[in-house]
Amino acid sequence: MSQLLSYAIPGVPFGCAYALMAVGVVLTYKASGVLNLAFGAQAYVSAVVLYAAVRDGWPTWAAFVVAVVVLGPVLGLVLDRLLFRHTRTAPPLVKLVPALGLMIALPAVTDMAFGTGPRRVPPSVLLDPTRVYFRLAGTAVSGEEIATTVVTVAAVAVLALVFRSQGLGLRMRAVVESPRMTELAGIRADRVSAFAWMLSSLYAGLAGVLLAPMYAQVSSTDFTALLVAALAAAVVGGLSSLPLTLAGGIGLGVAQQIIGGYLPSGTILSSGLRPAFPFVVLAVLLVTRRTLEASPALGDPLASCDPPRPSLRPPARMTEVALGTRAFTAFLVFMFVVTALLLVPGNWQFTLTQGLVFAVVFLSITVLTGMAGQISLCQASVAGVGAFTVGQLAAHFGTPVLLGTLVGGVAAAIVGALVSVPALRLGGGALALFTLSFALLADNVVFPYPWAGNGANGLTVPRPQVGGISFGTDAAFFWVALAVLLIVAGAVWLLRGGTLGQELGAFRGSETAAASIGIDIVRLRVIAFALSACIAGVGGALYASLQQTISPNDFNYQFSLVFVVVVAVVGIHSVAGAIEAGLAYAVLQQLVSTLPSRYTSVVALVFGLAALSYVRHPEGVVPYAKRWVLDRAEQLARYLSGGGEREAGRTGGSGPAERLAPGAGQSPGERRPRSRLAAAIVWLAERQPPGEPAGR
Amino acid sequence: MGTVGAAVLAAALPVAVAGCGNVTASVSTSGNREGVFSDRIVVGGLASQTGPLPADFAPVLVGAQVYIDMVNDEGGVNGRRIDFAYKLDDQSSPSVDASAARTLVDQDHVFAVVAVATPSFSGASYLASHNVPTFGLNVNPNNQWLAGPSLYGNTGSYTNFSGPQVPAAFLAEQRHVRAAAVLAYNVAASQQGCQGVLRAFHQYGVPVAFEDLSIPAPASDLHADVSRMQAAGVDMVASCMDLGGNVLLAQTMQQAGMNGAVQYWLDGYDPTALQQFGSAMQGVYLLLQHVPFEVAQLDPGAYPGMDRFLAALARYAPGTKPSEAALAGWTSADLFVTGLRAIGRDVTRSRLVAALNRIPSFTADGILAPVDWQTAHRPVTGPTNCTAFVQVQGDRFVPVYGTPPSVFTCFPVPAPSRPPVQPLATLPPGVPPLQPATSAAGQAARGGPP
Repeated sequence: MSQLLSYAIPGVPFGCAYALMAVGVVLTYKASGVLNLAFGAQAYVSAVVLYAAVRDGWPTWAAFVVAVVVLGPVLGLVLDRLLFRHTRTAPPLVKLVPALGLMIALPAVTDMAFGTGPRRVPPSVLLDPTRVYFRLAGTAVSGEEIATTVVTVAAVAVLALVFRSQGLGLRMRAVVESPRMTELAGIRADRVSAFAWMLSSLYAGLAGVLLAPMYAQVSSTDFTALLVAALAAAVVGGLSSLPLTLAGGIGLGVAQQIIGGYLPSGTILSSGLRPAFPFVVLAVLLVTRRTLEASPALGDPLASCDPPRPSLRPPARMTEVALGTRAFTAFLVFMFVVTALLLVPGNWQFTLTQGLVFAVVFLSITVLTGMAGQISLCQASVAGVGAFTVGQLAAHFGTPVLLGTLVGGVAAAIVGALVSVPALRLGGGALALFTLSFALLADNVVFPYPWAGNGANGLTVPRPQVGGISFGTDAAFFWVALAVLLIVAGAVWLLRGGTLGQELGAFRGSETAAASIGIDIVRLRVIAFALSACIAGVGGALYASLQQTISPNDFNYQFSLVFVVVVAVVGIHSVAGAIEAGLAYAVLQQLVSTLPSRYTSVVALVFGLAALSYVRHPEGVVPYAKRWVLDRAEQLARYLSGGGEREAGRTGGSGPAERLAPGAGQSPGERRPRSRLAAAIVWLAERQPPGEPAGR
Repeated sequence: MGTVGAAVLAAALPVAVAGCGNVTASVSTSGNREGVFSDRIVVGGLASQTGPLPADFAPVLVGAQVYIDMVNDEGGVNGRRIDFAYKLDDQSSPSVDASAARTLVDQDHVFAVVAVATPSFSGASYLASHNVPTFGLNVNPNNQWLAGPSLYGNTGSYTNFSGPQVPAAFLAEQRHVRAAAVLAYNVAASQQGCQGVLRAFHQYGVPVAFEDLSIPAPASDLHADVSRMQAAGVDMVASCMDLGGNVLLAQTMQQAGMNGAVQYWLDGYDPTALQQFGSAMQGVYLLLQHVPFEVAQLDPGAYPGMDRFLAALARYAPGTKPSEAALAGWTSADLFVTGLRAIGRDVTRSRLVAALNRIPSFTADGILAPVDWQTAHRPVTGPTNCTAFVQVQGDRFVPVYGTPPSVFTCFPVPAPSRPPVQPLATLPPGVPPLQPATSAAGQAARGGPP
């Protein structure tokens, strides 16, 4: 018994650390429906500011006030105003992407401001973290443990009290469900949401400075890892109950200690189960907790008062413009190939090839998320399945890489289908969490095995050879990558236009409606996951052969998160979007590797900030920009061809009647400028940007 | 895509790949004189300056820069200055590492890559296939440094990370350990190190009372492990975690009252860390692949390379604390310059590689145990394995054990299969210090631990 206690007692403060992180996640989930995976990054910001201030000689209390009491709520307010206020009734992906973007961008900004050097021995705010204050049942209790436990319990109690006495919890849920209905009841929805974000951000700051001394140095990856482990506690509370979340956190902490204490050491059981424990709990809870099945945004009861959100106006399609853009695209593709092969140094050839390979992996996200509307945070792990398959086959059986790539695709498809089955009823955020738990399981348990990713040793993968033609050099491998990309992109393009694509579209629009017209939802979901995984697997296998040495580091869960952000930002709904995303990702990373290290975070910053813009342009930044350019081109073309019909492009109409022949539609009374080009420039400058869809 | 289309595709693909094979690697020597000018030689470096553990890798660039500054101030090599012009950051990402290695060769046209330190050296095969002389910190358990004869790891291009760690068993015997514990992260690089420790313990009959090679990284709580070790009566802990995990381990052991246990860490030899975590690190043993920095004070003149390293660091990079990564940068640049000096004015990559691969015993002027570059590109170890023990005593690391007059303790490879673990009674040829000296460090070595 005393042995059990000696394991259980240290589990309580450890579990409180989980609970403190989890409560912050629950708070924002209740207040805005956002699964705030950036909570760890927010905690990191406060921890770094406190560290820097104390290092510069500030008294600890003053540093605490600035880092937590001031910075926390201010950051929360900014996030609410700029981002999350606008996503309240948005689909789950639109809520998730900005949070992921913040998770990447916040540490990047912090590191650029405060440098990247190691920040060892984080200062403690309350009690000496290593001093033993008393013993409980023979177990030493340190200052760090007392502080964590006391502050967490107090924080949860205060929060619960506020929720009860002020009815704040009820209001928050009301605001998430229908801001307008809430306002009709006389509650300022904006204030409620701003308050919730400020409070949550304050808690993030508190967690940051309180938990930093648990580690030897302040590092953003530690906080993110802690947050991910804490998600299981949040799910115990059904992402809504604070006391249950606290209980879940403590339970998780104690259970982990007891497992660590009793599992026979040095066996496969302890080496496999122990690191996997929080993620297994997370996955099991997600599948079994009924409250999480349906998407929490059940829909605004006032939604029927609005006309349905208009679909985005198709881009300009005047004959000349359409022909022009097609010719321009063909020219770009041609120039890309020529440039890649002839005009750039070898390292850029390699980078562009990397871009093509990433594009293949990204197409898997286009299929699953863009077409079927299913969020997956494990695409890098699935790509890893393909990569390790080709590597193991080549190493053990001498299987040709191209054949191995096919087998890798099939293996990944099987894994994808298996992942989708337990998650059949999950939607939105819950599905994202479930796939994330799969990614973490792969990282921690599966990939380290010699038969899988072979741990840090990794695998060596050869380059392919077809007949007598060797694709050993980077320049030759470019063709392989291009060919595979063209095949996969073509397949996705055909898929999109075919019956399955239509069904997936219907499924994305509304699961219920799709089921009601006789679409087999279960089958469709499994197919979507399997297809997407197959594409990711092929991409992963291709990546393996390109890199020639791979290890689980190439496919860890953080890449999965980054991939979703990159594709969503550049354009998740089109084949072209995935290709552009792949190229942009590879090229930006390559550009940055030559910068001084302090500015390396700039890529993270670019994609992070772009993710923030995603709230305004969920169709993707590149499609938005393209539309903008095309509209200008069309307007210019219209003007040059006669000056009339200026408004035709703005109203959404683009029927055959509006396809103007040159010279048509010229109104006789219109004043003609002397120089068309000059007038066109003046006229363009006066134009507003093309209209956003109504209702934003 | 229709059913027919799918069927056609499914049928066509296996046919298309039927004639496939795999390419075997080859070496190109086309850029033999790349980066060599009449007055200078352009070189580059590649390190993980950002990512989870920049402090472990980034200083390699400083160490190499300091050596090159010193050489240039002394007039360069055979009339040419060395221009360390390109220092790339792979951001700890394997895909960026592969492309950054290509950038150094294809875009920056460097002659050699004189300082590499990264957790995943994916660029190795490319550098090897272009015969680019490449030098750096060999911390990569995937043996990427064996990719070709032009790659030079700081302690040889082969490291058997999971081979038996004889020095750990030696330490256990010296301290009369009755129950040992072995701890590692659930991360292969960490596990492999500790599997080597376990192998040595089993081989020499050191009783292992507790092992846990599955601690989730980063370590945030080690109470369960410490209380199990306490229950098992453990009196020695070997840890393959990183510095953060080791410090947490030491603190948790202190709180639990396990102060008497011997601690042996694979990571943590860092004077800065000692200033910060001094109280937790008291009495800890560490194993080094080079002579400790402390010999410069304990035994001035006996290890001239170390004296020069510390002096140059203070002069050219004031404020930079000596670290293992910086030292690896220094010894890497030293090996490069040694090769350059040997080949004279006619500088080509092939000539440099050929000259380096004839060096029978490289010690960077008394910093390293000798590396035989005639054999160090092959996956063989031996005939001896020389390492240095240090112990934290007060505010510094003190060299302990050692085969007089050196701070190095040398074991035969392969080691005798049965206990006791015996270091070699006499130093193998070439182990620094090169001339016998009646030195303070030597006496400390003879005295053993307090």
